[in-house]
Amino acid sequence: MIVSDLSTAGVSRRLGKGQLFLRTGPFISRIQTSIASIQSGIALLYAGFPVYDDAPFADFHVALERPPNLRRWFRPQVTFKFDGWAPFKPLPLNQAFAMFEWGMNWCVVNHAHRYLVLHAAVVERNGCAMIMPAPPGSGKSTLCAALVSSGWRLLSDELAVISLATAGLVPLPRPVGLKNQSIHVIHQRYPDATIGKAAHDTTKGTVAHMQPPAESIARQQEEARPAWVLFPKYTPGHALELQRYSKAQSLLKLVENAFNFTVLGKQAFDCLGQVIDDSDCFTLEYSSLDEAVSQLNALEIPAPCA
Amino acid sequence: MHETVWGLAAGARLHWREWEGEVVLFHENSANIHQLSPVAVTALRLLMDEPATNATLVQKTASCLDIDVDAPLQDDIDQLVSQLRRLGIIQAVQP
Repeated sequence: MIVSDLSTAGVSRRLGKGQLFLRTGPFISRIQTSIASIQSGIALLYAGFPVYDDAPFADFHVALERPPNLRRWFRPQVTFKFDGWAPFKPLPLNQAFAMFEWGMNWCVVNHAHRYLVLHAAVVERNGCAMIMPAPPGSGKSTLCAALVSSGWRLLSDELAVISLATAGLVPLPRPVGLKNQSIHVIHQRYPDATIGKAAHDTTKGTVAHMQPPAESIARQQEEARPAWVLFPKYTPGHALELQRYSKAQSLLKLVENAFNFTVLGKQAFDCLGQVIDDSDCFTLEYSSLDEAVSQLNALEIPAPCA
Repeated sequence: MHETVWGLAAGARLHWREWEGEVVLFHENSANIHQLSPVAVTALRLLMDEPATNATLVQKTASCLDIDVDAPLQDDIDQLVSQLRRLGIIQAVQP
């Protein structure tokens, strides 16, 4: 059963009772909320994801609630809870779905230590994965959204999940987070893309999420081999420039973007070493999404992944 | 007065990766990684083989890399030894 097999009322009822078990990649999350914007956001943006009425085990037990105080009526807020504990301060209620997404990222980053987890987008074609670590504002998510709307498979928009056993990329294809002008850019370029309701005035500006392609969800149990490590940077007016990048420097940057490198120690070093061994590494500076997508479509597949 | 003799710190666990002549060192004890210059790689490997003073290390490194012993190399080795000691990778040992 997938989310869209349920009626919107059915999704809301299960969420209200905490009886919705959602599979995203290797994780099952038990979600409880009575907040309408999250219920409708899950019904829309997670429509193609497997869902269970019950599951013998859930990796994450999360709830999003309205604080039981004056904030129910005055400037209402939302609180994210993990195992009954609130790791963050409440946010304005209009940011509830964004908080759900950020909270789900937090769950993976802080608890999934059987994987190496990096702050990076991951896309794939022909079985070969491109890892794109980049700081906020570099256009990573916009480029990721453009690539997956152009035939690449989405493995993750935000978190690269790497198997310690195989150094393969484990899919975690959740909705793609778009910010500010990117929302309009992707909506204009890909009018068929399903984009949820925007949340304004968040710490990241205006935020909206794009539904992952159906094929990416259908193949969310299928790992991909690392083939490219790409450091993208959007610079207005800059001509397209793809340059090979030092593998040693690439490793250092991957470590900078790893959430649990020090937790995993040598296992993480060996794993990232294998990723770099198997990958060609590049920097990409661009201003035109068309040119960037075209350039990345033309990349040769490195031998280890061929 | 004797010059200090440096050797690998007791229990230090070091791991290396090399690509196209560039070397990255992982110090497992601290979980820190460092990119090393050719001089640093050579000097550290020499210290792993056998403890040495700064002066001896300069001579051996120059010999391994087939370069001259000069002031810049001596400065490089002095700085390297100081950094490696601060990072807990090497320590003073008995001559």
